[in-house]
Amino acid sequence: MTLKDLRAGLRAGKNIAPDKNWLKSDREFLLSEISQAPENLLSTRKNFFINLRSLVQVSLKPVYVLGAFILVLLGASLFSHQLFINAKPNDSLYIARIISERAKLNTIFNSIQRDKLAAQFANEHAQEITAVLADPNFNNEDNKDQVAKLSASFNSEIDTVKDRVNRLVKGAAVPTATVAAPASSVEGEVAIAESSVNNVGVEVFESPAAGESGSAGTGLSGLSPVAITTTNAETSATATSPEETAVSETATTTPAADTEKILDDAKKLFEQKDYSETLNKLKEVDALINQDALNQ
Amino acid sequence: MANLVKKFKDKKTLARLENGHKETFIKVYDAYVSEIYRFVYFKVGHREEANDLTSTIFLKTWNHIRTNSLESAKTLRALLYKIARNAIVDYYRDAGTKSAVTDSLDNEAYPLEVIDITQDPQADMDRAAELEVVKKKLPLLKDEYREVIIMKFINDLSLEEIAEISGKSRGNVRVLIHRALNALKALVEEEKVKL
Repeated sequence: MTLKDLRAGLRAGKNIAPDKNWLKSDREFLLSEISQAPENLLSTRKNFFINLRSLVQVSLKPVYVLGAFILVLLGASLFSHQLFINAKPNDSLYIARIISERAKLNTIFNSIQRDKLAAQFANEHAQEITAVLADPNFNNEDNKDQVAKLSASFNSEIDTVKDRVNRLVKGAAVPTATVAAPASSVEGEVAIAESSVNNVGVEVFESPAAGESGSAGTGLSGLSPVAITTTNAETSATATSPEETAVSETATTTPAADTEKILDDAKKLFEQKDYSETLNKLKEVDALINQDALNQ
Repeated sequence: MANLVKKFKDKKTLARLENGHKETFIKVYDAYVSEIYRFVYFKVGHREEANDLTSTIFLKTWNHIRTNSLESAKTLRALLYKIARNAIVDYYRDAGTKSAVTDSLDNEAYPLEVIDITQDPQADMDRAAELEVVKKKLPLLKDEYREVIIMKFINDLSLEEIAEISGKSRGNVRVLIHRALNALKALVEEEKVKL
């Protein structure tokens, strides 16, 4: 008999049950016994507390607590921004909005997306500060300190937008550089090719450019089956014409320069207390940030 | 999730019992009477005594609930088994014997019924034969081994529940079950060799 058979035999023991007649009489006996005890009816309130206590007892386990904590954290980082979106710079909830925005930024791992969002947030803050300061009920002698603080915040937000836009442009320029990098930075390129002459192994060959520069080793072709191609850095760099480089530079730097110029203008207008024009300028920046050209 | 709901219901039942709710106790009786009966039956080996003891166990449980706090009880099932174990110990002590089960679980006057589930006569016969072997050899096992085998394989208790009832660690219970099963297997094979 195997352990499996043994287990099957033991499982058959589950079919053993008490006699039905005995069960019926015993139940009645038990009912009569417990009916002697005073009646204890549970009120709705007590029932509610029993349910609540049971739920707490069951859920108060480290794994559930940790799960709930992570859920709250994730939910807060993803949705709290929506909750505080209407908070203004002079509101007490504004700090909560800033925190939720930071949490949201920290959940974004793509640096380009993060920079774009950070620039958007900073620009929105600048716009809101402008809108608040444009309100004559707030911008008066009574709120002098707060106005001064908001003005300082405006400048720092403008600096943040500039910084993030510059990062965005740099980030967008990286892929162009990496495309050119292999030709310009790699000293030698190793290529393996089957010999077309004798169909035995591979042969070593040099590119004409490398031969001209004299940087590649000679005499290897007869000894080694590995073919080596060396590309000179200067030679390959000439593949991109100066005109092309200039064009591509203009294409990538223009939005940044534009943005910076508009931001400087906005700063000046803000100092001149021309808030409506400042807002217009900041909206232009918003449009530029959202432009695809800035991100690619 | 199902496990969580089960635990919640169990805690709720315990809390209601703590408040002396009679209807809840009757529900508990209906849910656990067969299981406790089986446990007692395989421990004492006689139907009549198993009937009396099962009845006593539920009365003791009711009295225990009314006079004690259930704060320490992790599950209702474990509480019932603990009371059942104590009742069986008391039964042996009163009877003046160390172990009532010495030969076989039942006598011929009370043949065990195997409930027909599959409607397959061959399967029923096989099951009855397997059960006969187990019934014959289970009483020969050490009390400790017999108890874990009943709880684990006949009444389907979890390792945690057995550990809670027996006051042992989960690891100890696992080892105990393994040894008990091997001991039972050895007894069954020994019987076959004799035949």
